Amino acid sequence: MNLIVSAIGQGFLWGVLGLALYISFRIMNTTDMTVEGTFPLGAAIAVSLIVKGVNPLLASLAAFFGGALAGLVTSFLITKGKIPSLLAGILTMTGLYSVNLRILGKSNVSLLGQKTIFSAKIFRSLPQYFDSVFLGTIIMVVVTAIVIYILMTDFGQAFIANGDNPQMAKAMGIKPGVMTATGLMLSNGLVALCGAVVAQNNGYADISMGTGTIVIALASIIISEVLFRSLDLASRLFAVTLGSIIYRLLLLAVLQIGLSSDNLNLISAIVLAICMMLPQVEGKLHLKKTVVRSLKEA
Amino acid sequence: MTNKESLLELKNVEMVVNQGTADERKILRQINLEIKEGDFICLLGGNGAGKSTLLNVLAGQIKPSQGEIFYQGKNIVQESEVKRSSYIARVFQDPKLGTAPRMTVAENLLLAAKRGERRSFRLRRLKDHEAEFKKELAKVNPDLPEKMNVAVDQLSGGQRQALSFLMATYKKPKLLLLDEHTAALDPKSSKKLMEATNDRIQNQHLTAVMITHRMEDALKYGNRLIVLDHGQVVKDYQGKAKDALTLQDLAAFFD
Repeated sequence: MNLIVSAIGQGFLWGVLGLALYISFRIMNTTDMTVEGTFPLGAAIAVSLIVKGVNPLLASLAAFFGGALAGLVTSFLITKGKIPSLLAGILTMTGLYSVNLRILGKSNVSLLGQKTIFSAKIFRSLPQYFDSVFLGTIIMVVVTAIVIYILMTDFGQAFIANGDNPQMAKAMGIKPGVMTATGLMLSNGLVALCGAVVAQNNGYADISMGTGTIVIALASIIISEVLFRSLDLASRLFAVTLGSIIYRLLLLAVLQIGLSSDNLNLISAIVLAICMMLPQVEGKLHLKKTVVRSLKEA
Repeated sequence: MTNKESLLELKNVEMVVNQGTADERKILRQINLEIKEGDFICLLGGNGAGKSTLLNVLAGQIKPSQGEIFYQGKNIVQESEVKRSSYIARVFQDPKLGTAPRMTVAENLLLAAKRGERRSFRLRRLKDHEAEFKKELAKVNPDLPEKMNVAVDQLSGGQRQALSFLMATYKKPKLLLLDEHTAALDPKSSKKLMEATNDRIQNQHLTAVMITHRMEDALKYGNRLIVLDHGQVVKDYQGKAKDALTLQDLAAFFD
């Protein structure tokens, strides 16, 4: 039971990551590798600020802005430098490794004995692991609502159009550079925020905690898309968190079989690969109904 | 006819590709052209004559290698496509290019209603526009008003292109560019859209430049006909001279 609650909590906490990637991967139609660097960046900023005695909420907010700055760098490389988006993201990500190490000072910094956003009094009265479910839900709902609001403004609509059809967007007077910058800043800001929250939940920041984040985020998105085919945008954004929770439960199931957690990234990659291949496979084997049903029951 | 104001003027516009290499090619040569307010120009010419390039230059999608473009007396040759969108609208040949496929018909129209404007962080208020959208949609295609909340990629090519056309003209542009916008459609849809196009241009008193391959259309529509050949304006018929043209006259250019 505890394990399941813990997995659900993790799913909520990591849901923001999926949402952030949805903005770049699905709405903007770019694969933004920057996130592998901004996730630990957020963790590094938040943890080192908390260790210095900064309020954990402010530290998490600072992490958001740090991530947004990294997103701005990537968008600069894409729009001004004309570097392909995939490579631009990899460049920023690679550079961020050194930046993160500099912020942290060493490869791993513990939060032992420090106040975090999970130290609030209400959480102490909750049973074990429910703190992450509780706080994760609040963060997810607030962040998702803000993103939905932004997307439903005139600016947000222009942003969606730019990702959907850049040619048409330009003809409608939408500036592609502004859209790319805003999207990557928002997306990477949220990724860094997620990194900050996860680090506080784990109790430490680690230089290598970014490895595999893009796969985890994509898994949440793809699982939600496989399970819920046609949703409007607002429901889709909430469904991504649901995808994130299901992904955590799938991992838990795999670990329960007896595989060690050293294999986690391999398992993540395999789970994502399977999910992404589903549309191909199901067409050939008519698997759709059975797989969807069994996933829904999982 | 004579007292019409000049809207856009091209002076010595040239377009050269692969400059300085063995493949150097002049696509536009010494184009001098004045577009007057209220003109409905049909642009005719064989493949590779430079019609699309000329439209791209007007829209600001590409910058000419040489020459000046004046809009109401102001040199706009350095102005970007995005900036020109506040007064120039265009419909592409490919129905897929003019619309956002995953957004609904109404959402696309809302984008068009704010063409060239600054996008604010205010809520979009789609409902406020619905009645107006329905009315305008009915004018270009009878099936579209019921499809307001349908994603555009679910529409037929004809419906999609009718929407593209409405989007370009929803907020009245000073200059409308039509790049063979009916060519990708079946004969019936093509004819319907061409008629809707003509109606709208007449009713809204739009200034338009339309590329067409159909000589019948070039004769039937517009008050001016320009023939482009090897990047040069070889004929420019206006008013009565255009009315007097016959299919045989035009066919002679393509022999």
